[in-house]
Amino acid sequence: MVNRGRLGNSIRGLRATAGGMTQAELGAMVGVTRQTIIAIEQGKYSPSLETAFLIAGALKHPLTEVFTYEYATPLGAGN
Amino acid sequence: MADEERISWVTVVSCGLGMLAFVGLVLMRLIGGTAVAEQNYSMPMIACMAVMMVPILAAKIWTGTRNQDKEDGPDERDREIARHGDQARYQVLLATCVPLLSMAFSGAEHFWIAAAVFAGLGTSFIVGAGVQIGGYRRGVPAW
Repeated sequence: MVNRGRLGNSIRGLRATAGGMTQAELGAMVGVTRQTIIAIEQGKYSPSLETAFLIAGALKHPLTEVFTYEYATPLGAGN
Repeated sequence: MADEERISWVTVVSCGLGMLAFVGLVLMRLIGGTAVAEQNYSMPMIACMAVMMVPILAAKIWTGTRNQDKEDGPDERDREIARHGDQARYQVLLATCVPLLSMAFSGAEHFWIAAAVFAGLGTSFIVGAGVQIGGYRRGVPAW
C-alpha cells in the first residue's frame, strides 16, 4: 500500500529571510503565477519536481530544506 | 482569482442559464398547447447553445488578450486543474452516450434525442468547470 503522506514547505519563511521576496517575484523567477505560489505555500498544490527545484534555487536553499514530506506512517513500519 | 477560474465560473453560469432557457422555452410552448413532437426545437436549441458558448469564448479571448499583454499565461497548476476538468467532462459525455444510444435504438422522437445531447453537453461543461473551480478552491491532488 502507498505510504501517502503530506508535502510541506517553508517557502513563506525563506522568502522573508531572502530580503522579503514577494510571492509575485518568486513566481516570476520560477515561471508560475502568484496564485500558484500561494497554493504551494498553503499546501493546496504540489508543484512538479522541476518547479520545486526552481523554487529551491530561487530561494538559494537545498530542496530538502524548502520542501519536506511527512509520511503517513514511519518508513520501515511495514512499508 | 486566476483567469482560468474566472472562465470556469463563466462556464458554469452561462451553461446553466442556457439550459434553463431551453427548458423554459419548451415549457412555455407546452403550456401554450404545442406538443413536444410538434415543436420546432432546432432554432431555440441553437440559440441557447449560443447563449452558452458566446460568453465562454468572449472570456477566453479577453483573458488571452490580457495574458498576451502581461506575458503571464496559464502555468503548470492551471494546466493540471484543466486536465482534471477535462477528465470529468469526458466521463460525463461518455455516461451520456448510453442513454442516447438506448433512445436511438428504441426509436425515441428526435426532440428527446436532441434534448439529451444538449443536456449531456451542458452538464459535461458544468461538471468540468465545477471540478476546475474545486481544484482552484480546495487544491489539486498531490503527486
